[in-house]
Amino acid sequence: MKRRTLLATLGVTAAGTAMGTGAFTSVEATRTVNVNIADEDEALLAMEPIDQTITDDEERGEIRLSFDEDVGDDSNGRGPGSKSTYLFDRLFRVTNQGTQDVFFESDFEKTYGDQDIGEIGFYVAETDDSLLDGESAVVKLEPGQAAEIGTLIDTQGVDPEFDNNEEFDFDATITASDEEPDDGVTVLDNEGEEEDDGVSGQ
Amino acid sequence: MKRRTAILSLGGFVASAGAAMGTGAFTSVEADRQVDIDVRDDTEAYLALQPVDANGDPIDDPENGSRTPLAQDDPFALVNEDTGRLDLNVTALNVDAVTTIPNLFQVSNLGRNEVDIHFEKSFEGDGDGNPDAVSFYRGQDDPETDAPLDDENNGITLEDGNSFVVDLVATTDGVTPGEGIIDTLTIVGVDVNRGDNA
Repeated sequence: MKRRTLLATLGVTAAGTAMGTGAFTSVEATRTVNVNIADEDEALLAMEPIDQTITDDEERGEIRLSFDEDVGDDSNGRGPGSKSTYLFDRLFRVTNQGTQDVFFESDFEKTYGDQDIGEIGFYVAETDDSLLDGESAVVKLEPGQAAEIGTLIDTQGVDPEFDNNEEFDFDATITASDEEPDDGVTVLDNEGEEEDDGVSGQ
Repeated sequence: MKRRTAILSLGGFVASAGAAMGTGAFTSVEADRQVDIDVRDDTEAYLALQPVDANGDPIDDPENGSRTPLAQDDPFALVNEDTGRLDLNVTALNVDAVTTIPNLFQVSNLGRNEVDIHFEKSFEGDGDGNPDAVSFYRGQDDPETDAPLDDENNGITLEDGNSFVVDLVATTDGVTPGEGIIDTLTIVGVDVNRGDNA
């Protein structure tokens, strides 16, 4: 028992002598990290419905826009018609709950199978002439700022052979990044007004 | 200064023990020597872990924590005033999204030797968690081309006196809100000359 104590002591000594002060052979530091998903309306990029008819959030999980029979009246309106441009102002609200300014844009699939489904895009407030596709415009959101986002659906370019009664689902990819947009991209504020700092390239 | 004194006297003990072995038999000897172990807060340890600001610079008051997003109650990183350890909080991720939190914390080698560093992540709570949903990268690395710090085949070498900031990338496709993701991060540093058997 005492011999073992002695050997252990010598071990410590040898290590200390060989390594010198301040050098370490190995360290393993275990730390607590809390990583969790929040409800959609409480996340870093918070999104919540304004127009409850079109926008629902599946019990606060993920927002979804539905342009179907719920929008029109029971007998006739069951979705956007062909060769038309529809605007739906202020469908949902997006809030920057992060720590830095972000630029909001979205990217849509523009085809369904091999069909061209026309133009679709998000816009801020009522600025429907600047779609937030990251190429023509983006919205700048400071921490705490919210923007009300609408949707433009233009069926002018839809293939006339396209089945008028077809229902299709597709995803919009929303991006909020602190990277400055390229020159020539219009930067709008959360009310849809152009920033006048020259970034817009106007 | 005290540490150096302690080690020198221990070194002397080795020599005298060797001499004792050669000249005579003894049943036992018990000799107490002083060993100073001074546990430091994470910000001052040999392998230092520090909260940083949005630019990646260490903050003045680590116990107060780094920046806190509106969506969270707690800052992304802080040094717990009770334990002295770094705590990380990223608690408001969007569902079905890729989220990058740059400049989460800084790792510094305040020792005197070069070390290989890698991270290990795990979920110790109920269930399996979703450790694959989170990765950690050096700030200067590109997640599209560089391997994460928690890739077991990827270690990065950190010279003494050097440091790097850590970014977090979370991919929450297929993770249900309320499911755990990770709750433990282990930072491992091993002297470059020791191989990877530590």
